[in-house]
Amino acid sequence: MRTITYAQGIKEALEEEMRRDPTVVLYGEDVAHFGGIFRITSGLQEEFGEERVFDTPISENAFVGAAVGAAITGLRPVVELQFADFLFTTGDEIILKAGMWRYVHGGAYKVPMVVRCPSGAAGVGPEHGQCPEAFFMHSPGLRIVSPATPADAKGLLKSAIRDDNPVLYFEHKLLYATKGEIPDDPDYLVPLGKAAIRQEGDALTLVAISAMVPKAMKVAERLAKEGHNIEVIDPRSLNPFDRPAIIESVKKTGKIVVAEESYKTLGVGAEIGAMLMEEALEYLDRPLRRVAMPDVPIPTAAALEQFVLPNEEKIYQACRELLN
Amino acid sequence: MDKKLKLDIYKKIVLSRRLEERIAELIKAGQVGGFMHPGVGQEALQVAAIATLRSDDYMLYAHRGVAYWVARGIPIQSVLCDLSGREGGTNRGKGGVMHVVSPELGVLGESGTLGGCFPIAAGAGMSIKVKHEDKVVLCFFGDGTSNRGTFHESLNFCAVRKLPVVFLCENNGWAVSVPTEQSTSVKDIADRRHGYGVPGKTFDGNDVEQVYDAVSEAVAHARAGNGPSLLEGKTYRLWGHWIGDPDTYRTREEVEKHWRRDPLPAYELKLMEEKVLTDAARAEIDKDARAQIDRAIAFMEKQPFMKGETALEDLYA
Amino acid sequence: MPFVIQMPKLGHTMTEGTVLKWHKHAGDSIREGEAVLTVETDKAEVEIESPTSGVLARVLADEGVVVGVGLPLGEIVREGETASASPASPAPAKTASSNSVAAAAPQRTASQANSKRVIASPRAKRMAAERGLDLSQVAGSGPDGLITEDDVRKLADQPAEQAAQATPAILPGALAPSRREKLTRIQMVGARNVTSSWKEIPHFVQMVQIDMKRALEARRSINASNASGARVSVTDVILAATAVALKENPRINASYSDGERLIYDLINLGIAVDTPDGLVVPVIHDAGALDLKGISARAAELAERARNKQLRPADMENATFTVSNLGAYGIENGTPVIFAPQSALMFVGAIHDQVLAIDGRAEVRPAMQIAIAYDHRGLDGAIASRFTTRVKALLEAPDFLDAGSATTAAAPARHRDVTIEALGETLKTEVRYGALRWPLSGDDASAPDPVSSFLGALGSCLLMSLRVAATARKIHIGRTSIHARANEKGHVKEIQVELQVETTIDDDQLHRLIEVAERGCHIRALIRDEVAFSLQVARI
Repeated sequence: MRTITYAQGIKEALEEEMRRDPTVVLYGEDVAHFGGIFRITSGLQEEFGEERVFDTPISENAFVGAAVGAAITGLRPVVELQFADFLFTTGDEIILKAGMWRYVHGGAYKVPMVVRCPSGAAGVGPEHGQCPEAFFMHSPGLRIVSPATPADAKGLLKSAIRDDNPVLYFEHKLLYATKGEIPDDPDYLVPLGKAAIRQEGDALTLVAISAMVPKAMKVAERLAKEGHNIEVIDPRSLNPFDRPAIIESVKKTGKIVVAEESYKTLGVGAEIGAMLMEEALEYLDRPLRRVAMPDVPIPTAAALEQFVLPNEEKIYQACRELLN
Repeated sequence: MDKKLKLDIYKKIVLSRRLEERIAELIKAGQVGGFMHPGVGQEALQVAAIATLRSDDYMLYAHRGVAYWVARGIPIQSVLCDLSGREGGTNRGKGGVMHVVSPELGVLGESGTLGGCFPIAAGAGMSIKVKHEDKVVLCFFGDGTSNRGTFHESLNFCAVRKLPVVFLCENNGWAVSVPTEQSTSVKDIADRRHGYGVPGKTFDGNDVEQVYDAVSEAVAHARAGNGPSLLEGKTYRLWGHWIGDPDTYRTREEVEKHWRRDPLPAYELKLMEEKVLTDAARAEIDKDARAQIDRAIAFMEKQPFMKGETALEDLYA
Repeated sequence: MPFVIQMPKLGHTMTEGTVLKWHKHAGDSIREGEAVLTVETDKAEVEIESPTSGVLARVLADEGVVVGVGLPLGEIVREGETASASPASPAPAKTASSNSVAAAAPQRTASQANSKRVIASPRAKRMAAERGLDLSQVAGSGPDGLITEDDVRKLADQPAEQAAQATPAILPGALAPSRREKLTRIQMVGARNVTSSWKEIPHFVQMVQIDMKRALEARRSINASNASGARVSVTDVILAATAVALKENPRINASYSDGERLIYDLINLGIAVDTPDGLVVPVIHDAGALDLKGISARAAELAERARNKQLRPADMENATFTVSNLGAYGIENGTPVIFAPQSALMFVGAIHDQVLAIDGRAEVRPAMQIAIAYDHRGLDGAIASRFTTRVKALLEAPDFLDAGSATTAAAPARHRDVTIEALGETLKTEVRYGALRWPLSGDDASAPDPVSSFLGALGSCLLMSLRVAATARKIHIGRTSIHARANEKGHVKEIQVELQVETTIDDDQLHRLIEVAERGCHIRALIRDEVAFSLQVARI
């Protein structure tokens, strides 16, 4: 085992997969010479050359759509968007092209591509700070992953690159510097669609996504001191979504809180709530509680941002409400 | 162009024309459903351009008629099955005739949203370059579509990265109901090449030889690794935007004027003058086209409709 | 506006009550202060009086219906008013109204609405269905009265009556009840509470036999000398002894909660009283402040109210210890169940003449057994033994009754004035300081030995002196503590004191402060020069 950062996990996954498979290419704005605005990809152009690692013009529609064209003709492109919010710029390319090209053409093509989407509020305001996973969960044909640990950052990105479908890979900006252990195995893969039980417990199920995971672990620690042993589930992958993991947990606990950094209305928590209504209603002992962003754009000033962001205290309070 | 090529192009134009006529009858009679944008009047441009490609090249067609598929050799009964939602089509009931596809023939499919084709073409070009192949991508689009941002982004992207893509505009003068001069800042779409520093030209899209020569030149340019071109063939949409379009936005005089420039009789006359075609051969070709279509329709009618549950297949690999 | 009678909150844990009986019917006139209806809570039946005169216009909750606190029960129209067109505040399912009700027939609708709708979590419903349990009588503990999984588990743990109801005899020849008696609400709640006490509290029971000769003599003389005629019962004497023993053993007068012992100053004695409707347990509040007569008077009053069903919920709340005397039924001993969250319960058996060995001779004495059940989570056998034996000692040598009967307490405490009594012929003594008593022991560790007691006095005095000195100099000190030791045996030759103090002042300042404190300490001044005295200081 080694200890690395989340950012290193992403970079190692890119390096290893590019060495392993010559059809993997990496491009985006500022990724090659500069090494990416979050400096994830520095040095990769030197190793893999200008054809496989290159800078693009500010043309998200063209270069994300080009990933679809490249994927159906034999490459495995990895595209970096500077901010996950730019997914909205490329709505047609992501939703209708990447997500549906295979389907509308009757399965004639595979679309193996990855779009790396730095997500999360970090004082960067409404157009650079969203966690927009839920928007894309609504849309068929896409795979969606949101790793929360360095090991998952690496293992999920490697799996995403090897997957034959378009994968939106959400990397939370505030997790880049977090550290964690990772196995040395160069083929360390985290399968898509498998949730991680971060802590086992039976008092309550706390589902936490991306940067909410470390906060959830602190809440679990705090509740343990108060005598409540809760279960923390990190779905990791939102499509495919490990429904059984959550349902089995709720069968055990009867209570569930979902913590996410996206907007509350029709967020991941809403989908989980609907799923439980359909598949596990009889096991619920309390109403679902969602800790999410209120339905306002993410403000820039720190005081406003802190006010709307889900945090440890808000998660704790939601759990307490159900445990009382 | 040799005689065989000319005759081949002619046969494909005839087959396309006859097929669209029959499809229009079937749709009007309610025998097939379908969302068909006819290409009558534009077949010469489509067939002659595709004739320049190698069998391993890629193409992205626009949604205007059947000639692209006929030209590339996709069996017409498959197209009819796509149109009618029956088994035996190319896309298993998922995309209808808007998404006819053939990986074997390099037909990458079509973007249902106009302008979605440009980035896809750029990506295919990127693939070719990374894999050090000498293939090219031929990307058809209409004059209206050249106003999409993706056109401009992709042209720039391909130019910067010297990608082997030939962008071919079929300028038929109309974007559904809006004439080109009301929607587009330039008279000739190919003039936009200057903004991106790529070669290209405007030519008569109803003249098979002009089309063939211009596209051949651009394909050779791309294949040699010199990057993209922007071509424009002037043509005209003789029918409405879709089968059933009331077509109230154009004057009868304008449409009739263009019927007099219909590329099919024009090319026929030219080939007769060149003694490539005889009356007897012309009659034989027409008969053969109709027979092919009869057989294809008979095949289609025997095919079962796609089962509803196949709707849930083909999403993920 | 008509006056709306609402379900009153009759105890701090009350969330709902049952309408037991309407004394007035719709259309009856009512005087201010007159009883309108009786409601039943978890703990008691209570008559609701009208605060106003008028006519009972509408009854909004039928007899037998469970109504949440604050929700309407009926409406009284005063002179000049008319009844409201729609029921007062349409209430959630458990209550008595519904918007569509015509004024003419509110009662029927009310009872239908109430009897059918069960507000339970889906999980609770599933579990109830699996176990064949009926949730209609369950009071939910969740938000807005939601019946939760916990409620169902508690219900499932109530054996017999509910289970029998739920699983009718199917097999021919299977045991079938000839009659079913529905428990009252009070009994059901009692059943639930006993079940959880039995399940959650690890009990241990200590039993002793008590020679009651002197206690009975004392009682006789108190009753003989009392002209007013109020009689002190044997139970009263036992209660008074219990109060004294609890005062001396505060850890028994406590609750165990989540790793903590919650110790109470107030001694609230629950006394089990038999009534035609079953056992109830009213509480003598602050029994520690009452003498024997006070306890006796209060116990008599509560017993009377219990028999007349006039107990108020407040009369039954917050007991810290319970005494259950079944001696009158001839029971000699038993293993009682503690009422959570109390830590102990004392069972008192019947008094019989027994042959006891007294000073080496067989004597016939009136004797009884007591059995005290303790919560083993918060109490161990040693702590419990001190209490058990103390109750025995108090009853066998009931001198506390003399003091109690003379004045309400022992002589008031005077500074620097204590009385010390040797306990029998042992090396144990008891120090008395006003009403306070504490033991010292020369032969075991059940109480401090005299030197330890002195060291305690020395350390305490030093800490007080230090605090006084610091305050006078406006120096802040935080936590302080002392560990004091002397040579283990014989005359005191050596005393080592380690002082720990939390402060930010520098070492010089601290040592000066301690010098002052040492000089100011009266106990320190008592230590002879030949005793080696050392004082070490450490910071916290």
